[in-house]
Formats: sequence, C-alpha cells, structure tokens
Amino acid sequence: MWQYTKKLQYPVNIKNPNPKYAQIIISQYGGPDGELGASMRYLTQRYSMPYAEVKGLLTDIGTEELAHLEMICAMVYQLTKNLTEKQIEESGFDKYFVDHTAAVYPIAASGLPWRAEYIQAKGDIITDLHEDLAAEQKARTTYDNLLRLIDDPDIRDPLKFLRQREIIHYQRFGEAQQTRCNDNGGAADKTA
Amino acid sequence: MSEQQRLKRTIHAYDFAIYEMVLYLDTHPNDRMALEKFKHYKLKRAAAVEQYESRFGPYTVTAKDTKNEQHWSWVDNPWPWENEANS
Repeated sequence: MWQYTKKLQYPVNIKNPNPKYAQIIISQYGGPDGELGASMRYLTQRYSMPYAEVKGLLTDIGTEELAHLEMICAMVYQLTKNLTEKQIEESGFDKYFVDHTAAVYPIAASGLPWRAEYIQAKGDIITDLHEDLAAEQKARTTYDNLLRLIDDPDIRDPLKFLRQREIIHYQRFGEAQQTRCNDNGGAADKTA
Repeated sequence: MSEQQRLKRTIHAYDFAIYEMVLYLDTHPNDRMALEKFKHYKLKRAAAVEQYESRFGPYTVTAKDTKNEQHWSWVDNPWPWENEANS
C-alpha cells in the first residue's frame, strides 16, 4: 500500500504563469512517455515478475514516478494561475480551458487524453525490462525537448532534476537486466 | 530562507539520499557498503528531524509528540503543489 509524504520530491516554485509552457509540460503528465505512463507501467509489471529484487525495483521506481507526476502537475498548476482571458486566448490555452478550466488533466501536448495503450505489461521479464529501458530514454528525450523550448530558470530547474532521475532509473533497469536476463558473468549483483 | 525552511531542506536532502540508496540496494541487495551508507543516511536524517521537531513541532503527521497540537494540522495549507510550500 502507499504512504503519502506531504512534500514534492524536489521543489517547484514558478513565479511567472505561462499557459504556453503549461501546454507542453502537460505531456509529461498524460503524454505517451510521461510520468503517469511510467508509474502505471512499472507498478503493473511488478505483479508477474519472478525475482524478488525486480519486484522491489519496479515498486520503488513506480512509486517515485508518482512523485514525479505530482511535480509535473504542480508545474502546470502554477503556470496556469490567475490567467486573464487575453492570456488564455493568445496562448491557445483556450482549447484546454474550455473543457478543464484551470484543472490539471492527464492529456498530451497534442490534446490526446492518456491511454493505457501507452504501456505494456507482457508478463515476460526480458520483454518488460527492455520496455522499461526504452521508456526511460523516451522520457529523457521528452525532457530534453522541453529544455530546448523553455528558458525560465524556475521551470528549468525541476525539469533538469526530473531528467536526471530518468537516467538513474535507466541505470537501475540495466542492472536488473544484467543480473536476471543475461548469463551471470555480467551481473550487477554477483551473489544473485 | 528561514531557519525552519533550511532545516526542512536538510531533511529533504537526506530523504532523497535515502531513496537513492533504496533503488541502488534493489539491484545490489548484498552490497555491504551500500547498506552501511543507507544506515548512515537514516541516522543523519533522524538527527535532523529531531532538531527540527525540538524547535518547530511535529515534522510528520505521525511524529511522536503531538500532544501540544490543539488542531489537526495535516490538512493545513499550503499543500505541496502550491508555491508557498516550495519557497
């Protein structure tokens, strides 16, 4: 089960609302390679995993992704505060606003709502770990793209943290794959 | 930032270090050095929490001494996604 700690994993304090930025950052919530997909993927795959430490890893990374989802939502929330009608119209945010006002809803930058088809749980450790490695790279690339488009340091700071975490997760999935999917010569955990 | 915020940030830093060790230990469950590091961070965090609580009251909703609380502060603003919780 889950405990909730009443804080963000890394602080988000954005001084300048910007609905244009909100529209692209929201992809890391409800988009194909976003944190909602990541958390659901890992928390779903763990049930059919054969090795204890892989169940642990998927549980713990999946839980951390929920914390990242929360940070992304905090960013969208802060970026869409106190908007004027003019800002809403000129930024193109009106298309989202009409259906959700200033709520934070899981969609991609394209406007497509999140879907379960973004994830897979194939029930095979080799397959699932390969998907997880790919997922972390896709997420990292998405953060790269956001950093290309956004110059506000208040926003760049938490984005860089989140990007770094994807790289670390990739490392951990790689180690799990080495230990459990190849012959033991290359295992990260030699005692496995 | 205030002393209270600074102490909170210190605890958060240890929270993060501990969580990093959790992920590493998931893929290296028999790494003794990593286990030692994990225990070390937990001790440091406990000390920081103790320091915080002695001066500012409970850090978590289940902190040991809540008898002085007249009011259920868990629900109080700000919540984590609001600017005030991160300044």
